[in-house]
Amino acid sequence: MNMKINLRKLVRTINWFGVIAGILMIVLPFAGRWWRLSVGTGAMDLATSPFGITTTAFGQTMESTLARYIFLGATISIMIAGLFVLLASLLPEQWWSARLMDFGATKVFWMAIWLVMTPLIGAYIVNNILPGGQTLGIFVVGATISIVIAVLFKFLARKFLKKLWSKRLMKLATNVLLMIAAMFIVLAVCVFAVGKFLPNGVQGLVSDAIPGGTVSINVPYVSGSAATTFSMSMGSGQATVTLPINMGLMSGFALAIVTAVFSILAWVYHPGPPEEKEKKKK
Amino acid sequence: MNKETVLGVLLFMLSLSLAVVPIVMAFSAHGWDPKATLLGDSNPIETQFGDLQNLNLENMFGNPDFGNLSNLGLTDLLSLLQGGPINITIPVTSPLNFPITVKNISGNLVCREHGITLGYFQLANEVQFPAYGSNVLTIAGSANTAEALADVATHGGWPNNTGFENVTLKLEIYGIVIEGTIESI
Repeated sequence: MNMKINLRKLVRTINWFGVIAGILMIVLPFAGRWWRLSVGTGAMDLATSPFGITTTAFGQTMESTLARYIFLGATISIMIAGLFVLLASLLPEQWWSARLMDFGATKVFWMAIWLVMTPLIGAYIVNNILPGGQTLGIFVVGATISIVIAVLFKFLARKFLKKLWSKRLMKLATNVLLMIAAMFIVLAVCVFAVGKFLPNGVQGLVSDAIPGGTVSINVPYVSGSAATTFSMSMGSGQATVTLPINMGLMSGFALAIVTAVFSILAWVYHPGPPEEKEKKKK
Repeated sequence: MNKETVLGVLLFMLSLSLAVVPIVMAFSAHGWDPKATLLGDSNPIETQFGDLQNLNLENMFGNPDFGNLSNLGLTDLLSLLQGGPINITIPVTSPLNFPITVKNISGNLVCREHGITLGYFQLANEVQFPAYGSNVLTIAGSANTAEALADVATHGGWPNNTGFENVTLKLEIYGIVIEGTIESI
């Protein structure tokens, strides 16, 4: 009877969101790639996730030792994080539980954010910044506003938020804002570099290299199709090279989103560290 | 230092080592050579297209089949030109070590002496060549106008001083479309 009550109590204390998230995190590295990019049909095919990359160019597989080791590190990291989230969720009353949860819970969320942001920023740079003519103003304003809001969030959280879950959500929102600020800063640096070293943009570079050469760059944002065209004139002739570019999110990314949602829920729901409990008692 | 702090430091060290150690290992595996570490040993562009400099075009084209065009008398030639497209077949062996599709060949045939467009030609269907493979290009040509037929009649046969204008060649290699146009040959 007593054991039954203890078991019921144990089941009640378990952070079930965390259990699901932990298991999903351990499985995630083996659930396939998250995003793909292809140029032409077989000219270049790339499929990637934070845990691996497969690249073939003109029928040949490309390998990078650096990429392989970094992805191996990320795989081990997420599996350890998954194990920690699982342990923390099964034993949420332990003194180490909150620390382990903090360590692992937001990892997949950030990985998913980075995987979307990287091609997004890359496409923006290629489509809008490389052709030249952009001004720094909008990016500096964007970075400043993001930082000001992030600082404001931090201040408000410290001043007014009492519940642990609300503090955690606010921390996440603040970090997202800081990441957006970092993105604006990266774009500002790119605009500055293009203005400094390519005053006429990539078009000027192409015209200098090939007389009569023009380039029309068009890259999809994260998902979709587009075509980039290079043209050149030689005497009475003209040549055009068209590269169809295709991008898309893959099934692995859907699982990553599910994992990220469960991880964040588990993190928000999880009891705080012992000092938080002490504070509450007082 | 309490156990909470120790755990925090350990977790930070774990994160740091999982980020740094793989990079150090990758570089040490290639003797600290950045290029080899980053790009590996494979160079697909060199592997696939490196041989283009040493292309052997000698046996690329077989004997074109002009049908009975070459030995026609004027009357027969005029009647043939008015009869519709004339197909010329050209056997081609690709000297390339990658597949290629000829999507289009087109242009105008002109009499340079009188500045008259005699007709136009176009690839009948797109043709695929596997690596080092052979196939046949069928080019359909048509006489253009009554003016062109008159020019053939004036010359008493096919004009000697002919040329090509607005010649277009459209190729597809691995889905990348390369199109070239030359105004006059």
